[in-house]
Amino acid sequence: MQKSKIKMTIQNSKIYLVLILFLAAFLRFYQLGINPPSLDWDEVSLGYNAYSLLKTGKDEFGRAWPISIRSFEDYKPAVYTYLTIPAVAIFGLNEFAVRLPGAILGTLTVLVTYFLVRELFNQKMGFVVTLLLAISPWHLQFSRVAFEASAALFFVVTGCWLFLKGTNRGKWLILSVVFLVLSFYTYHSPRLVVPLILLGWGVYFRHKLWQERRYVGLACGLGLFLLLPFFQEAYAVGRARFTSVTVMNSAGRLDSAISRTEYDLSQGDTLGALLHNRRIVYALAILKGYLDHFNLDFLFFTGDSANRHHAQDMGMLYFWEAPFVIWGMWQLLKKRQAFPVWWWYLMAPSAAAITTGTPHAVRALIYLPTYQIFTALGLIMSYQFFKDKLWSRKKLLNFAKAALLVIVFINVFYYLQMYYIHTPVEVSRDWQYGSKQAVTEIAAWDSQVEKIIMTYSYDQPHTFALFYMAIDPSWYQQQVAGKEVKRDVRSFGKYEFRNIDWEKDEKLHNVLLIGTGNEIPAAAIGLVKEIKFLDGTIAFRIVKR
Amino acid sequence: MSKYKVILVLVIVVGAFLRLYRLGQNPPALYWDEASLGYNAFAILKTGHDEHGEKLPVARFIAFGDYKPPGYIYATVPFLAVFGVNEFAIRLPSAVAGILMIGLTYILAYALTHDERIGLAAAAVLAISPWGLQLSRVAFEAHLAALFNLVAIVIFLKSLKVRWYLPLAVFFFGLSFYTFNANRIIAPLLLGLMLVVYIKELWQSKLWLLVSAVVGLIMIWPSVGYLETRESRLRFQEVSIFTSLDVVKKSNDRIARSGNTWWAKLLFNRRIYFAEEFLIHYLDNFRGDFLFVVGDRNPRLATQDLGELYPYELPLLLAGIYFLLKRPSRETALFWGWMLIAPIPAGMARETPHMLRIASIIPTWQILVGIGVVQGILWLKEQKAYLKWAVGVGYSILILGCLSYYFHNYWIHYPRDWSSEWQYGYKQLVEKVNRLEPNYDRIYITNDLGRPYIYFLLYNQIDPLVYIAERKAERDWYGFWTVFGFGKYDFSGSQKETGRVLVVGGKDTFVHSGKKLDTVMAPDGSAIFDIGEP
Repeated sequence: MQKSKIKMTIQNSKIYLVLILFLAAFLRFYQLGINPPSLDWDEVSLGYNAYSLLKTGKDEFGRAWPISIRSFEDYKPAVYTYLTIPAVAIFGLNEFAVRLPGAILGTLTVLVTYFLVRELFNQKMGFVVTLLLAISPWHLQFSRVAFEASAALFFVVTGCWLFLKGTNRGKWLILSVVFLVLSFYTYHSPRLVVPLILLGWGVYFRHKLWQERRYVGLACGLGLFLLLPFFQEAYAVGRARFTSVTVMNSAGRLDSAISRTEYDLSQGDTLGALLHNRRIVYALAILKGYLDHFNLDFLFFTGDSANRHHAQDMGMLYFWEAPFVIWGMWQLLKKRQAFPVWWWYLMAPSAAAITTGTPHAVRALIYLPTYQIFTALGLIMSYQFFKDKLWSRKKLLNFAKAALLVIVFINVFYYLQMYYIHTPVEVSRDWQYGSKQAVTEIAAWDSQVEKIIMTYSYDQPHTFALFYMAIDPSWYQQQVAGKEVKRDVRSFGKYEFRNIDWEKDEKLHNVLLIGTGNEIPAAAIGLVKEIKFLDGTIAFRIVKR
Repeated sequence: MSKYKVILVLVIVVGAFLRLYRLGQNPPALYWDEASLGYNAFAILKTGHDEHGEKLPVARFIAFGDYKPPGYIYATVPFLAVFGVNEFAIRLPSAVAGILMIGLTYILAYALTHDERIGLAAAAVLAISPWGLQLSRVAFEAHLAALFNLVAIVIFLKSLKVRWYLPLAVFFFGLSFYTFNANRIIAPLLLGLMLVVYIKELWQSKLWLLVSAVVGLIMIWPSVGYLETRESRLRFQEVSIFTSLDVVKKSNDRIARSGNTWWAKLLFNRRIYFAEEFLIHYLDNFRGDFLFVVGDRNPRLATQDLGELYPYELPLLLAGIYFLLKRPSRETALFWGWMLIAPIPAGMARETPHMLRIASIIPTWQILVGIGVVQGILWLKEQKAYLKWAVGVGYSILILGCLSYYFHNYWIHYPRDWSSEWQYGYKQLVEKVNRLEPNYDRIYITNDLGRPYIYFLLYNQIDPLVYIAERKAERDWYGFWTVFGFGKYDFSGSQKETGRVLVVGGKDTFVHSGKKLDTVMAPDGSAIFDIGEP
């Protein structure tokens, strides 16, 4: 009797996990490539570089099998692009193929999170956390697009799970290091966050690790070896990206400090001048960036400032989670797992904190799944609390359960409504919607005009042309080889990408002009087509002169 | 005197020094509202009438048409009588409020935790707090209201033992009600909270409960009429988030896009979005960057260099929250409720976070930090010697660094860099114009920096009844007054007469024509006003 019951629960538990995974996969694959309504320039660039690598073994600039993709001079870590190669090979150059690796890894992250949480807590926590991650707006947002961050999250979660296993059986540490190193090659944030997590966990698990010291040494050696190309590259080009996003550059930030230093020195106040040291300015900027991630409107109401990072009027978490997050945080303080989870949680925004534009949902994606752990713990602990208190009043308990379920259901329903119905329409502009339609339209004109000029206003239009016209990468590599790249003027073949100056450009002949609604007037003669954003405003006007 | 009392006196002396030292000089000038409060107080002192000739207004002062609550103005009257009409006297009520709040913080923290050390720590934290200092050194109505609010809460806690204190507590809530607009919402909410938390005790002394209710009603009575007027509602709507048309449009668009179904009308209801707006604005007041890094974005409300609390207070605050949460009692319930109630009025306004509108939250943050300080020291005492030294020395350097950073910036750079925010230059202008005035029949003064008339009234101590008889002024639909001139002064912005005429314009007024006689300079040496003949 007892035995069969245990067997039943194990079987049930497997069914639960399968059901949750099925739900996770459904939410990640349903309308994949259709919503969000367009690839943004980064996704398009990843896709074209994958295509270029597939066809020629080189990226768009002709660098053979690089570990970072030069792209828009931002040197994207390359793993996601490599993962996209088979997808592009099978499904062709389209939205689905580019986003497919993200959706697969997103679904796998849900699975791996189960193992991580089971290792750290127990099976029950594992299920609840996994279910919460499966429906998490934050995780769904980035599993359904080609963003490197969510791929990196998979490697981080897997690596951390294997690390925990490795504290008991050392050989897992070897595999753990491989995954953690992969996260370095996938996205920027883990390069700071992962070492910080390892540092804290290493100290916390020092006794267990000491017993496995042979494997620890082996893992460290392997890790350093695998990171050699990374260090080499970071030394060469990594700084470009870093200085462009960090708060630790002088652009404008130091003006007031400099003028104050000058005034102090003119007054002979050397000690005062010392207080306007740039390190203090940077330290305060980093502190602000860090604390911004605890803003409650970011978490529960509006998300971060980029419309591509969340559904409209949704925070990164569900509103209903708020009380359970807080309660779970409080409860966790008393548990033996407090340190590993809290440490992860506190380190997660560190990489985002040293950049501008905080809070930042992508750079701080490594928060997941800590918030889900807090929520799950809050749920379980409050359920037990009420069960103990209300054991004699079953009806009230059932009522409370039903009420919570209804609230959760409404909140999830609201999210799905916002994500599928309203957000694509309201923010299609943020996804560079229209660029694909414009490029497809002008491809038809290719043979009829001498020159095609497309506006740069929405940024990086040439990437859309490369991608949607599937321009031969080996030909394109020759076009850009050895040329200096200017951000806002690009050209290849008969295509030129620059902003339209209507007064001058309207006098041109035998050209196709593609400009924004502001650049080209509605009454322009030779108007071929208007392309609209999904909210009905004008994205492009195409004019033949 | 016990050891703790001696230290408390020392803390108060330090706090008083930081609040009173060069009170009239930094911030570098009286800004419009301070000048207006000062002149209205002067008018009451001299004639019993306000700037607009109303006799001893109780519900509100019209002032610029912004309808100021009367509390600060009446509080300033005796100080003007003693110290004369100057910046020091006008700011003194706020500074005194700040000094008293240090002592009251000690009493409250002790009542909350029964630990003198925590009381001392909290008082010390407030004494040097950037938030408290900024509030104390300017004539802010909100700060005086925060004092009344704190007095009321302290007296209320005492009234649980001494019953007849209860009406007194209500009386002080009434004073806060008449001193700052946000407290018109905070005071009744706090009273409601107290009633809920202490219903048992309060019910036992029905007599004093009744007396308190009567006191409260009598105090509110004179303002009932005003609160119903169009002006009072307009003042609210000006800053309110609930008048936003964007929210309504968003809601309507989404309902339409979801097919006008019944559930869409519920889910995307404008009330839900207004509630969301409120929560966002309300919670803004708990943001980390506001509290610890940048502070209020209005340069009159913060130095723009540091947050409302020092960065080193962050870990102490977290420890304080932890330890207070671990000791739940009805006093702490009142405490947490107070923290949650104080930002409610601010949450209904557009600009958040707003250190002034939530001033009545003081000294809750400081008490939490105080708890953290004491718990931190207790923790440190148990550590090994090397850790004791490392943390002790490290933290001391951090504290010292933060304090030097704040005080250096506040005293050296703040008055120089932000003088224009304080309407610096008007006082100097009045002095210079006064010297030249006898030679001219008409004086034209630019209105570009806003409301010059109030500074001429204040610094020349003009009798309000004379002013009212001479003034050329207009009231617009929103109730705001524009003063075009009085006596020899013309602020209309256009010069209509020639002859013996003096003109005050902005920088470089007399480059092409006319004769420059004098210039008013900002602390950084740039010109603010040019004075001359056309």
